[in-house]
Amino acid sequence: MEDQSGSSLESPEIKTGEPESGDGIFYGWYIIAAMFFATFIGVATRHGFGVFVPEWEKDFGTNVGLISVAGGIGWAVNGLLQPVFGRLTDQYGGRRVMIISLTALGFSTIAVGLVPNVYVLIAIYGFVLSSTSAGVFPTPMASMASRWFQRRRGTAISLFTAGGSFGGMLMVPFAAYLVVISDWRMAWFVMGGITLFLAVPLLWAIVRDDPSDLGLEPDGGPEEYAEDDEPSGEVLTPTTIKVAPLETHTWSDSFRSAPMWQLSLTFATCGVTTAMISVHFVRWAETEGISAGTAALAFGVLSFVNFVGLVSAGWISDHMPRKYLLATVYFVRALAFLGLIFLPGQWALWTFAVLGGASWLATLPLTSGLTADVYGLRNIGMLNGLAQMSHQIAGGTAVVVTGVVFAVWDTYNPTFAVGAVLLVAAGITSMAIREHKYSIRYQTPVPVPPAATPLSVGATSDGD
Amino acid sequence: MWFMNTVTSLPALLLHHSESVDPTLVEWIKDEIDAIFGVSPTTIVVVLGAVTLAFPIGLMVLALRRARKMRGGGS
Repeated sequence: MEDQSGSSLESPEIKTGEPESGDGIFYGWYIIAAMFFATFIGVATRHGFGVFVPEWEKDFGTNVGLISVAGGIGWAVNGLLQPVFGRLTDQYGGRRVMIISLTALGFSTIAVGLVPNVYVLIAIYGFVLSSTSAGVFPTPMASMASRWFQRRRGTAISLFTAGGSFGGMLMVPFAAYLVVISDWRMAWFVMGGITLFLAVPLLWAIVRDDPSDLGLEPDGGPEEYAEDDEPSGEVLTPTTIKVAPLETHTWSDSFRSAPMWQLSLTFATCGVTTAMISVHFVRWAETEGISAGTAALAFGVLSFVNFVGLVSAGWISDHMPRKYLLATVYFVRALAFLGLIFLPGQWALWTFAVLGGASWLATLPLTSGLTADVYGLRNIGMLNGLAQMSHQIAGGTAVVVTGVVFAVWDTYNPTFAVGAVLLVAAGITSMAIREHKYSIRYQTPVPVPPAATPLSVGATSDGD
Repeated sequence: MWFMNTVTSLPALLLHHSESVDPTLVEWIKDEIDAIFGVSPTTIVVVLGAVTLAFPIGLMVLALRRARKMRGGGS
């Protein structure tokens, strides 16, 4: 098996000081753009599920409960497979994993258009399509972005993640109108075709596993580290590297140190609080006397604010310690939850749309970025995958618990209160991460060992 | 009852990464698009499809131009 972390060390052909690409744009941004489109189409394909539910009810003569099983299984399968695809990414490289997975996703999308009944739908959508989409987003992509970017890692991760938001805004209405002018089967065929004939060739032509594959360096080269905003204030040269202090040879060893637990537990809190809102938001609005249409509009506002919050958080985190921003995101979301409890209906709705939206997706670039900063790139796929899985499992548990509490007490306030407390705890935990001690961003460059294999390299030959 | 409510809401879990999946929101978006533009569904499909196609094709063109420049520059 090929170990991605060390493969590039053997041919450190560095083009220091040369332009990053033929047009002056660092090639890593092309990769982010290609992954943006793959996320755009991949996430929209999987998450456009809701558009088709009424059509399936009619065609299959079934009810929404049975159709929902496909969505529920798909969600669980996707979450559980994230570490598997993370491990594959570490071993075989993100390019291979993403291209194969996206190809399979394209074929399974077309296969959904052929299903004859709800049971085949559960098999194809719940297991096949959701498995293949786990090989595309977010774990392999976050790992890939971390290889190409160190100084602008937060921005890079947030930009391709934003593809999912755009996919929701464009592709879901696109699919909905395709159903109007044709039928739901044609909508799946078209989405599968776009995946196979546009997204896959795009990844194949543009994405490369490591900057050193093209003779480049992360972020475009060490000269950029001379800028004033380099956190450590140290200038890297072609003969120096930065090493992530906590990078280990095996992923399991990462859990012997505090930051991995801090990041996983806070990300699980993210899963708890987003999942309970995603599922119960409209029902909560109904208990407050708010119409479903108004609640949907508020969720639309939340979507837009979440895009702004996501990209802003990624960019800002590249210019300050990420832990402070991560803590701020959790504190802001805690305020949004408190608003749901203490503010009157409409005020609570719109306060949540803005505050909750601003913090909705921002945790992903911050958590993935910090994980790569602290633990390096050797096992980054596996570590990202485990964090993602904890997010999903915690989220699923929270949905069920929230439903039970509502059934017993006829109010969401107890679970919202628990959510607020967990978010405050997550904020404090994030603040406690010793980023200056453990993040590669704040390490002093050391000379490149002549024959040794460094575990992680910040700006020179390894490309990590 | 709560169990069925939870099960029927499971697809909404996916909302975390793509909020507009909610059928109510999709219906609202469709109504707004119809009210603002007043064009046929076919036109909307063509426009949204063109926007969707433009991005990857444009990116591919840029990447090819870059590759040609790199070859021409001898890099």
